[in-house]
Amino acid sequence: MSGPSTLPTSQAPSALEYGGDEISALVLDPGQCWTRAGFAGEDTPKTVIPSHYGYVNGGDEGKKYYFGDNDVHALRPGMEIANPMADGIVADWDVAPQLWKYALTSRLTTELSEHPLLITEPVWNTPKNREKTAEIAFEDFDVPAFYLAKSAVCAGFASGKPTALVIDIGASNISVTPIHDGIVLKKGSVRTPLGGDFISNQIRSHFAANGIPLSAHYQVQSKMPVEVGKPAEATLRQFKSGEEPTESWKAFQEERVLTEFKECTAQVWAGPGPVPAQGTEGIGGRTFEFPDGYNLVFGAERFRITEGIFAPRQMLIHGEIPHPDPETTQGFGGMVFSAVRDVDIEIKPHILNNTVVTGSGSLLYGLNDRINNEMANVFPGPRVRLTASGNSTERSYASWLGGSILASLGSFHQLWVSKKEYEEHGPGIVEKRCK
Amino acid sequence: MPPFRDDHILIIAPGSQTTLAQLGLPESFPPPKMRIPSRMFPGIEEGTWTFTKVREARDGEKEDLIAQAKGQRAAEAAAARAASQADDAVKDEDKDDGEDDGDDDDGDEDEDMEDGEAKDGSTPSAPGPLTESKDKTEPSPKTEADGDEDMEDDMGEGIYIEDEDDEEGAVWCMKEGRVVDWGCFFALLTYVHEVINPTFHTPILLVHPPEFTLQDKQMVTQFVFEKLKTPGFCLMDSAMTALYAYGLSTSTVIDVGFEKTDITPISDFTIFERARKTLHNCGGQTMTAHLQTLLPDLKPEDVEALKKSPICEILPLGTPLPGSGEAATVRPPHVAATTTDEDRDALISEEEGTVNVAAIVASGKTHEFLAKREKQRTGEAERRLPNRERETNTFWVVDKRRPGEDEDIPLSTSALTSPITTTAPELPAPNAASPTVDDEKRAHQMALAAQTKRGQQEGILLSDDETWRELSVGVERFQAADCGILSTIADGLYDAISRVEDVSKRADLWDSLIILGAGAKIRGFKEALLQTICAKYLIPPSSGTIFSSELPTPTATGASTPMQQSQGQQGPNPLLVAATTHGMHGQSYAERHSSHGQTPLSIKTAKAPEYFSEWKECGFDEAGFLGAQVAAKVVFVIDQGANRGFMSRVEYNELGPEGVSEIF
Repeated sequence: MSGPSTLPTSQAPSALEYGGDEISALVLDPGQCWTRAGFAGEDTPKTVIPSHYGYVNGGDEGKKYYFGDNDVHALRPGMEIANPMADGIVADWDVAPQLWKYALTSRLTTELSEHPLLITEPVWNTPKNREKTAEIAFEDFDVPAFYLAKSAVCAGFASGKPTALVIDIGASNISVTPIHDGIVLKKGSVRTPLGGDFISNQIRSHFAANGIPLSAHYQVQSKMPVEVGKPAEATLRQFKSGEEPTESWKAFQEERVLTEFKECTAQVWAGPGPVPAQGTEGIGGRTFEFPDGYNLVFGAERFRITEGIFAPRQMLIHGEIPHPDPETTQGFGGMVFSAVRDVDIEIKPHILNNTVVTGSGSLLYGLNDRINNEMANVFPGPRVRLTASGNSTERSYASWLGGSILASLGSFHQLWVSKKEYEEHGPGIVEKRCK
Repeated sequence: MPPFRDDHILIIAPGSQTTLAQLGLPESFPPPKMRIPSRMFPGIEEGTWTFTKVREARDGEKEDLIAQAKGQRAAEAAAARAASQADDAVKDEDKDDGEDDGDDDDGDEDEDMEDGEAKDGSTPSAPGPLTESKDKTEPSPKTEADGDEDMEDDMGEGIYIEDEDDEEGAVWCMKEGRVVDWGCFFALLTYVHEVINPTFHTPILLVHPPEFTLQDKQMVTQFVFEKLKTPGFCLMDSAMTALYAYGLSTSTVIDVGFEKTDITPISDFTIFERARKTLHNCGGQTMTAHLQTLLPDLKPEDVEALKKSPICEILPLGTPLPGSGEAATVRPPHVAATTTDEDRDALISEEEGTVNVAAIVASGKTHEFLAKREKQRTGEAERRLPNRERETNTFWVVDKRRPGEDEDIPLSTSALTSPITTTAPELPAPNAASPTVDDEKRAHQMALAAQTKRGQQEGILLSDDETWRELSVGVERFQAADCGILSTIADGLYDAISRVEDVSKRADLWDSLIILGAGAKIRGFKEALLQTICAKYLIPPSSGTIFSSELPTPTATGASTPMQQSQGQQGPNPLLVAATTHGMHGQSYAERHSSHGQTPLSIKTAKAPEYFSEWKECGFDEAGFLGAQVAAKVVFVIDQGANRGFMSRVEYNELGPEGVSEIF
């Protein structure tokens, strides 16, 4: 923490020497489902808020927005839930900056103009979006310095690997990105919309197809224990007319139950090979209790729910529930194959040897084993070594953590885009400087 | 640096309502010794703050003060000189004001003050408006100390008085755990530091609310080192101190505050920063506000007193309110039937027509007498029933007697409409006494004495200028938490624990809840909260898996590898445990699906610490402060900085305020 000793104390550090060892830089990692923010140099983000936001259409004042856990989950008549992100990148530029500002100022600091800001972006972010991000940072937030880092590179750094094959299983996508010496190999980076949201919809499809009622916690006041498969006997909350929650809010609340299902019940068939069509009756069942007390034992179903990741043709389809096209969507194995196919033959083994699995979606029980098997299947020759942090926190926040490491490195000083440079060159500087 | 000593450690725990502080760690950790409201008043000069309100004297008071000042000038001049340091005098005065006027050891100041009081008390005809007449006023030490000569020049102008009771214009420096006025906050810290006046070799432990940001911590650190000049400083999160008090390493701390509730899951002394939650508009104040809407006839201070009284209770879920249907009929008959000897005594004296107050007081049975009489008058044995079976019950309100009011006015009833009835304290009423003036006066004194005595027995300590009255209230007293606070906290708790990424840690977090905070003090609150949580979130053992214990599938890498500890070494056979424990809630269901199974299969509160006898009496609602003492002992005395538990002066000089992130 002691400052650079070569400088005389009377001399102010140059404008470029922001951040550095000092823990004053902020790191923002906006994801599809969660927006993470914190100080560089720390090991976990201090603030993690849902990327979803609530809004109420007011009369004259226009929309009123609600951000953050408490407000988004609060029951407000007429509050709709929406997400400014789509496909992992910002789609709504009216709301996203407000959301970011909330994430940065609610628990971290009140003076954004005093802290350099590093924002992460997915590899497939558009140039327009990148410029817009810089514009927001410099003009709305008035930051002194800014940098836009690739989240895959950051995730690699979080595992201490500048050269890696990063498999990031997020909410909207599974992305596979080869990186070499901290540079993304754009040609090889691929993604497929089979992330966490896809799994949620698979579970919904399964429930809908089997007539399993999905309740959410907000409906229940108290519940009674019931036998497996028996109807629930819960005291439900009554809503006065005009105070009922909106459909989008209800869906958002149900999503939380699905998250619990994913965490506790869903499982990935370890392989090798796909879930067998028959002979799965003996698989140990796992009980899941819904918020209203209704509980069921899930056997082989909990494997079929996740099977779509590897075999999109086997995905569960039911009624209106959205799903990607099973015919054209690339499964996991095919995606990894096409990602590595174009990588230079000399670095290919090196990259495969440093395969990093990250993202909250990768916490699905048993997923790692299956990925191991699939990789061995696709690349029978080269040695594939999987790295996945045993710490689930690190896995969920790998991109943020990498950003935090990056921004706190002494050698990162020269990479910051300063406000002065931005004023001179305009937003286009981001394309030049943040590769 | 010489090692720190127990009796030199200063602990400050600022809260949005009350700031707790204590110097030194006695052998057995006591409840906080200093307890002051977290507010300051803007001083006369811009940027200064005073703990007691200083305001310009109003017209009515001015003349009194001038006259008084003139009469005392000679004595004062000497006094002012005697008090060599004017500033110190101010501080001392402040300190005494904060506590009790009675035991002032600064002779000169004391005299002035008492004179002032006497003067005000004896001039009931003060022509000022009503608000003014109730203020107990006294000459400001400022005017005395340095305004001595000014007095000559501008008589009647710029006279300031310290007004202890006037809360108007007070600045509360914190709101919902965040500092809203830093100037005021620092002034408060300075005030606490000055009142306690520790030695130079005093390390400080400051307990901060969870809402403090890094920036806030840096500011506080800078202030403490540069203004309070401490040799060692430790900042500790209030949730963490609770953990120290309970001697746990893993827990979920539910801190019910004034306007907010903090829920903090902590595992292995690491706070899950992302999982922790602050619920706004969810605290003691929320319940007070709800009570107020239920009892619109009561004054706000009465409602506050009701909430703090033991009759305000939160009944277990599903308990019918007394008076509603079947509950009213449940009344042990034997209670009504019994008449003790003492009852007869009381009856006899009643029959005689006169009450020998002196004899009763002298016999030391005043309380019994009063109790019997009261019982007699209400004609109900209901009083013996526990609070929760009675339709109405009474509580005490302590009032400040306002100067200028006739002494016995507060003793009489105030007009309140149904459902509240006001009963004047049960005194040997004047109508029973003989009509001569002398007797009346004596009876009145007796009445006061009896009142005080009874008050003491009720656990109310009255100072000279206070009176109390008794109010009775219906079943509303059980409905303080009906504003949804319990379910809000329950939902918040579930949300918080669900946000802990490590699924295998959730079960432990559910199993050791610590519920504390001033808002949780209401009788039955904790139990009702626990019930609410269980009713909504507890997952009973499923008939689907209770007899089939699933073995964990071994996995090669990653976090999904189940923790072995939850299997095998779980102790006794889970089925045996399930069969032998009969507790309704908090029952230990040892059955676990596997480490990443659904939670909570059991919900329990942590066991209160056992060693602290003084805390057992007052409850563990302020256990955070107890924990702060334990932590201070560990950090400053036992560890002596070996593990960098605190920031020393040397480190501060080296790192500056930014060092906060490295150490705390």
